[in-house]
This record gives sequence, structure tokens and C-alpha cells, in this order.
Amino acid sequence: MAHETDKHPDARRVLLVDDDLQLCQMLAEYLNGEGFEVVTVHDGQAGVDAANAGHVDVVVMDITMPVMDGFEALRRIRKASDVPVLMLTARGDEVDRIVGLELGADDYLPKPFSSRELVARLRAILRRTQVSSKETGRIAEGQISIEPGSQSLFRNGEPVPVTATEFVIAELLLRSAGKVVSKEELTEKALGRRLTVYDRSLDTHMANLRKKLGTADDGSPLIKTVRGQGYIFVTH
Amino acid sequence: MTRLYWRIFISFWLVIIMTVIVTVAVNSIAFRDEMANTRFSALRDSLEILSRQAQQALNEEGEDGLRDWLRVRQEQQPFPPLLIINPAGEELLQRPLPAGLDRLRPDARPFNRNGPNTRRGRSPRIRRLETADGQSYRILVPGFRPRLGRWSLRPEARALFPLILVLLSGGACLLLARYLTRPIQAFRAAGQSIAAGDLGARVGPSIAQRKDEFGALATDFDRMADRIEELLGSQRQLLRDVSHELRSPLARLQAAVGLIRQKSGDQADAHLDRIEQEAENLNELIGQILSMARLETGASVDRQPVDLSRLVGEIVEDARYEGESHQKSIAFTAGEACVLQIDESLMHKAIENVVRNAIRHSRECTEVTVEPLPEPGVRITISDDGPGIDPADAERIFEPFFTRAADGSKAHSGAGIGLAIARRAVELNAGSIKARNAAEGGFVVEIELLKR
Repeated sequence: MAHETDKHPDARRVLLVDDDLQLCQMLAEYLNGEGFEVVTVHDGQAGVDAANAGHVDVVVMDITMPVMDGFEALRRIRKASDVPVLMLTARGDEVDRIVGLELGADDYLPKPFSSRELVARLRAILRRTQVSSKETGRIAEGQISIEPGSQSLFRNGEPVPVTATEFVIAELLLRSAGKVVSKEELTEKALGRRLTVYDRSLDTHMANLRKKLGTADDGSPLIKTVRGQGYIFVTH
Repeated sequence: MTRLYWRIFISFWLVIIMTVIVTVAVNSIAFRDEMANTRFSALRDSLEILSRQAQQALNEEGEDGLRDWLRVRQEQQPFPPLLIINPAGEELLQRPLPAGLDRLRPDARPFNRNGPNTRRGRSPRIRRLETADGQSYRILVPGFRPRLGRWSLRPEARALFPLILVLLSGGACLLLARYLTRPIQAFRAAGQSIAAGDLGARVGPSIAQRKDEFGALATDFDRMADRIEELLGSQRQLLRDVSHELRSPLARLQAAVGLIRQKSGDQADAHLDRIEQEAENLNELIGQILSMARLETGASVDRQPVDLSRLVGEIVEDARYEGESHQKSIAFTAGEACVLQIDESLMHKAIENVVRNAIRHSRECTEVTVEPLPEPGVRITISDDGPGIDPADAERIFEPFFTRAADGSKAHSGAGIGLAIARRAVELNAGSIKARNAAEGGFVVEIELLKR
């Protein structure tokens, strides 16, 4: 059952989904001490229900869980909402990581992790959703436009559902449309960390974003890869 | 494979051809005269008697008498068939003459051109009958017409027989060779797939359903492959479980450390750092043991063209970042792009482990070079200015958990398996890895990869 910790008026709400009860308890206490409000549930189905009930700012979810594993839960959450999701993966298991990101996770953290690292990742994710909300107005380029204030992305005026991370990537590319944005910059600004050799997270997020944006009228991609340099949002 | 195929094909074919040649040769040399003798001497003897009777009939009653004698004779005794040709060139009983007989000179021997009559004595098939006034009749036993027609007796036709023999036997041998080697090819394909990591590969029912030894072998092979797949499957599951079960307590440990840190202020920071560091070491060791186990139990190798200069450059860059915090530097030199077909993530792991090991043991600096070899390939040299090793241990340092510096001191913890992983990963990329002490002191590891 969902277990809630003390409430702060402005606290960000974290939904913690993990079948390790003791770990959840300790993490909840720690996050609470860092000023988060935490809801913990212990299986995938309960995670989906709690995430879709709303009032959650960010979800932290393990992959190996009874009843429903983290991947299936993530798939179901993504059907209904774009709430940021941080997946907890097994260390060194690249497949888990890529599958999670492809299903629309915003980031992953290999287990075991230090509590400080978890907080840093959560803050990075929340910062992405917060910072841009101060802005108003629209940025448009061709068929695509974004509203940083409401975190929404439109194609030909129709809203396109994107995750928080995909939105930040789209925003970075759109703001420098026609110019190459390096992978390093995108990783630092959209994922909040340094790009390392085997970090394919950005590529996976980029593939998801491209799929959602579709192609230009002539069938060419809207975002092009510039080998060895980065990505560019093509202007016409 | 193809070699066996051709070997079977050629040897069977040669044996058939040799057998035929020997048979023919022995026949013609040893038995030909004797057989011909028996057959034709009988014919000659009977023709001798018959021609004497015919001569008598001709002498007594002329051509009509001869004709009557012939008719009676053929009615009573149809064999051997007899023809009698009068001086006008007509057969007495108006029977058709064998082709070519009209061109016959009185003493010519048109039949059985190659018969023994060309060789010895009088023809066994033809006799001349003379009347008192010098008219000449011929009495003859017509030759047997060859079944394939006269054409088959011509020399160019006779040359065709060996050719047909060679082609027919060649075709049969090809089929035989294919029949024998096709199953072997299937075994080989299945074996290679399994070795390459596709544990689901089987020889398959097309061979296993055969009723012969190949069928039995295929059934056994597939059963063996089932067993291997099952064993490796359960081992992998075990590895995943072990990984999960060992790491869950570590995750809780780290969460607990986080809580203590939060509640206790900064008094215990140094000790908590130590706990976190040890937990991290333990976690890394678990990861290393698991990846070693994965490498030992059939890791799949995915070869792609990789520029080693770039790969090593990236590893050095990351390691430099790590080394700088301990005031240790790395010098990196690389030639131009060295592109080889390797599994990038395996080689990354191998080189990274060696580089990190070098930094850990170096005093001040580590040198990494990438250079092309004389034969197509690349040598990666990683040398440090540390204490080096006991030369006797040059091989053993690649064994898991072997850690000892030349001065006898125990090396840093957590280092015990990195080089073992490196060796396994290099071997999976068909390369070699060697360790030695540098002449001017320090420890050198050389990784050589050949272009294939």
C-alpha cells in the first residue's frame, strides 16, 4: 500500500517504486530529510496506479519487481502521462538501460547507488521541468513549435506528447536551429551529467524524439546527426 | 569440408575408371585370343563341312541342286544361317544380303572387319565354291549386326565410350560425395553457430531423421546442444540472481550510510567516505566477477570496424581525469587511424582494465602508445613507472586474484581480476597480451591485435 511521509507545502513529490521494503524506508527517510515528499509502493501495478493518480512530480522505479516489472509499469505510465521517470537498473546491464530509455524513462541510475547521487539526479530532472516553466511564449521552427512555459511541443499546431527529457533536448535544438549542438552540451544540459564513452542515453532519447517529431514534408529528418560533432535541427 | 568432398569424389571416380581400364586391359590381353579361337574354330569347322556338302550338291546338280540343298539344310537346321551368292551376286533363296556385300570382291572379307579372320588362317565365315566351268559361288555365314548399328563400330564412336563412361561415373561420384559430405556441412554450421554464441542452433530434423549413422549422430549432437543450452541458461540465471542478491544488501548499506551522514553532521564524514568507498569496491568486484563469469561462459563477440587510436584515446581521457586526482599523469601517443574488426565493448573493458591497473601502480606517470605492427595489426603498449613484477610471475599476473608487486607488497584491493578479464577479452578478439618489466624499470603490458 502507498505509504506517505510528512508533507511540506512546497515539497516535490517523489513516487518510489521498489520491492525492497527496507531500502524504500531508508531512502524515503533520506529524501524526506532533503526536502522531498515521498510516496512508496512495492510492486509495478501499485506504481502505475499511484503515478497515474497524479500529484507526482517524479517517479523512481526499480526494474525487478513482483506482480509487474518496471518495464511494463513504465509502459503503462507512459500511456497516460509524461511524468519524469528515473529507472534503477542493475549495474553493467546495458540492455536494461537501453530498454528503459526506449520506453520513455528520463534517466537511469545503476544500483547500488549513493543516496547523494540519487538526490542529485532527482534535482537535475526536476530542474529541467522547473527552469523552463518561468518562461512564456512560443519558439517555432517550420512545423514544430514549443511552449517552454507549459512544457508542450506541437507539430502543425497539434500537441505531441514528449517526456521531460525529450522536451529539453527539443528545446535546446530548436533554440539553436540550423546550428550543430554538441553531444556533450546536450548530455550536460538535458541529462545533467558529463558525457562518457559508453553513455548511449542521449542517442536513445534522440531516437525517441525523432520518432515523435516525424519527418519534414519531403521525407527528410527534422533532426540530423552530424558525425563526430552532434545534432542539428534542420531549417528550411 | 570442400576438401573432403573433393577427396571422396576424386578417389571414387578414379577407382571406377581404373577398374574399368584394368578389366578391359586384362580381358583384351589375356582372354581375347583364346575366346576368339574357341568361338571361331567351331564355326570354321562346321563351315568346312557345310561347304564340302554344298560343293558336292553344286557339282552333281548345278545351281538348282545347290538351292535345294540350301533350302533343305536351312529348314532342318536353321543355325548357323547360311547365305549362298551366285556369280551374278544374288542370294540363292532371294534373301536380302548384308549391307555392303555388293561391293564385295570375290575374296574380300566384308564382315566382321575386326574379327579374328583378319588375323589367322582362312576366314571362318566365307568359302568359295567353284563349278567345273570356273563360275564361283560363295557360301557364307552372315556376321552379327551390332545392336547399336554400324555407326558404333567407327573409330570416332569407339572413342566416345570411354568419355561416356567417365561422365556417368563422374556424375555418380559427385552424388555420392554430396550425399556423404552434406550432413557434415550441417554439423559444421551448427557447431560454428553454437561456438559463436547462438545456443539455439541445431543440426535439425532433415539430417536427424535419416536412418543411418549420420541420423544417429545428428540426434546425439542436438541432444548435446540442448543440454549445453540448458546449462548455460541456468548459469546465466544464477549469475543474474547472484548479482541481484549481492547488490541488494549493498544498496541498503549505502542508503543507511546516507542516512547516518544526514543525521550526524560532518563529524564522521571521513569514516563514512571510507564505508562508501569500500561498498563501491565491493560492488565493483561483484561486477568484475560477474563479467569474468560471463566471458568464461560463452560471451557473444560482436566484431565491427573500430579505430583503436580513437578507442584508446577515449579510455586515456577518462583515466586521466581519474589519475589527476591522485597527481598521476598519462602520456598518450597514437599513430594514424588503426581500424580493426573487434568487439568494441570487450576491447574497451580490456584496455581500460590494463590502463587503470597501470595508473594504480605507477609512481608518477603512465605511458600509453598505439602503433601499427609490421604485419597488418596494432600493438597497444601500456607502461608505468611502478615497482614492476617478479619476472617469474609474468604469466600469473593474468590469473584472477593474483596481486603481488616485485617488492612483495600486496597491491591495492579490488585489482585482482581486472587483468584476468583483460586477457580473456583480448583472447576473444583473437589477440595476445603479454606482461614484462621494462629494462629501465617499471611494468609493461603489450596487447597485440592482428588484422584478419
